[in-house]
Amino acid sequence: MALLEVKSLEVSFGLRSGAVKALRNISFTLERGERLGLVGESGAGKSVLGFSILNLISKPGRISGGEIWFDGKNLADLSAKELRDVRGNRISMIFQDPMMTLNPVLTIGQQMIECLKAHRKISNDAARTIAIQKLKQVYIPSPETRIDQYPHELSGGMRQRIVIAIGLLMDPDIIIADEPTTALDVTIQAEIMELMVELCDRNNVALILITHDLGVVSQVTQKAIVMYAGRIIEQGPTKEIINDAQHPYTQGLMNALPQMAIPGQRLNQIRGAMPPLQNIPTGCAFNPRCDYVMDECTKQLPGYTVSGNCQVACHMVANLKKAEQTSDEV
Amino acid sequence: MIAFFIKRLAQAVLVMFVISLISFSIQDNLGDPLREMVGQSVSEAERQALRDELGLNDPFLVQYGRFVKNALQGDLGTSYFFKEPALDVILGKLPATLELVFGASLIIIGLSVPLGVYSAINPQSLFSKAVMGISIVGISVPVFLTAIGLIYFFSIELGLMPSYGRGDTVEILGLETSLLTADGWSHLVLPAVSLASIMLPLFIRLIRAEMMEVLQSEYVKFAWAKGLMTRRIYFLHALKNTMLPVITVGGVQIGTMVAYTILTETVFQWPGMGFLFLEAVNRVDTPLIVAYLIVVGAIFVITNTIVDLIYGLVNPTVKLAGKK
Repeated sequence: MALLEVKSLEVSFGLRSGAVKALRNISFTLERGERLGLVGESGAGKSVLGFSILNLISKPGRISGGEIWFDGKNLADLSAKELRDVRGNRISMIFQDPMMTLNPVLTIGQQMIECLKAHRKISNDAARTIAIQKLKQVYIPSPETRIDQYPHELSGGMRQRIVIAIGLLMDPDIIIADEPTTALDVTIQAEIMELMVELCDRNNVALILITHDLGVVSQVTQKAIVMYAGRIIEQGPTKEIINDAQHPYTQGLMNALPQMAIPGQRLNQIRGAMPPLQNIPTGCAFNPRCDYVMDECTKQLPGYTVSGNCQVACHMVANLKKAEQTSDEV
Repeated sequence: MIAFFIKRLAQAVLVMFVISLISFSIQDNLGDPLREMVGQSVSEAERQALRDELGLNDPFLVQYGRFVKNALQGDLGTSYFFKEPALDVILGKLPATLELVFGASLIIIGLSVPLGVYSAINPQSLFSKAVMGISIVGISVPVFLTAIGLIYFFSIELGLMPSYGRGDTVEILGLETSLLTADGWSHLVLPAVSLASIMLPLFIRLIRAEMMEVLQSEYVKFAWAKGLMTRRIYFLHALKNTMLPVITVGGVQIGTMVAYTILTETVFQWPGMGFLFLEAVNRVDTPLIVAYLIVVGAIFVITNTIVDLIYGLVNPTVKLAGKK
């Protein structure tokens, strides 16, 4: 059985103008130790999905449908207390901006020890020992002094290491990392990413990596999910998606990589912008920006077509598959 | 820490100098102190002689220089009315005023933190909306009206509380205090409530607004993601950050509250500095007025220094040593 199984998850935000669906029909699985990349433009719903796994979406957002199975429990309808047992313990999170993630008025040690004490009966001294050991694991120099310092005394890269150390404190099964390197200096980004991969591998932790950096996804993850306007439009093994993207949107993203442009020419881009969630076009949400738009794209929401090991929500891909099958039969 | 103190001390001296200059210079514009001091029968020639004797005819700077010289030795002049050193008269009334400010501060701290926090956590609840509504009324109604209303309901209609005075006092360590007698407390309640009524709504709203902002912050979200107890998130992670700006505002407001006691003390006939000040103004007792302004200025400077110290303790990003 998969470690985490999300089934037709729906998240909506109740606004005055009516409920807006931020996530629609999200289904995927995650195996133990597996690394999954969640890709998409800003506003595609990647972060909302990351937060909703721990039921951490802030009001007025809420999980309005679907199930999140983890360890025999449906996280979508656990009580507050049961959820607290999972958060930071079995599943932990790493946030985007380490400058904002750590509480400025508490020491590093306080913020680590409180997490340990929230999840198991442990003395202050024992918790401190574990905290120092975890700081060593993320290569914080002289952790014995660092632990008593405040966040503002540390650099951005160091702080993100500490956030990672907090994420690893309870030896979780899953870490959800929401753009963990976006706010960092480019030279530090690779370092932090390597560190995360190393630690996940060593401790057999599954990683959900939310990012818009396809390069990172291709290097780090085994599986990828491409999201658009609150829906998964393509998912499958990272290699297949990177090398042979099926959905026109994924292809567009791949083409937009700077490596794909001819030197001296403008970078490729997908024309237009993602529609606001209140105003998603009927049919395929991508149809106004798609180069291959057909009549049915504007009318009917595409279902998922299996292509290789991938699932793709695109009418064109579905038609191609159908044509292939008929030709096979003939 | 020592560097911080020296820096603060230098600032305090400067501030006190400015306050003394301003308060001393207004005394010329308060009317003729001689009219109150002497009777109708005294002739103009005698009045002039008395003016010379008091030094009132000297140029301003000479008068001010004399004042500063005496002030540095702890002499702020002699009250015309009481015929005693003005500073002694003021300091004799200071405990009563501080008691009043203390009582009002207790009410403000005791109510504003829980109400502000509750209405930040549950902004949609009926209770929060009621608190916000009432606080608007509290801000809008002037303090003397609140005071008169309180006297009307609790003293006259219900007969629960005394309407004026300080009640029984006890002498402790040479200071008179009403905080040690039940009668003293019952006298303190209404004045303290009316004094608190202006600041309390401000603090509820300030704490609510700050707390709501802090609750949206990434570090509070991260605290939720760590699976901490709700109580710890609200009262440690969020409240400690909420209190930073509140402490700053609080420091300024304590001084303002001392100033507001003039109104409260007058309505309740509370024998404090504010009441004394108003009497002094009526009697054109200029040395007393000047002494009052300087004492209140000193209270401002002292409370603000203490607040800065507390702020430095709560906020680790502030280095008291004055590191650049």
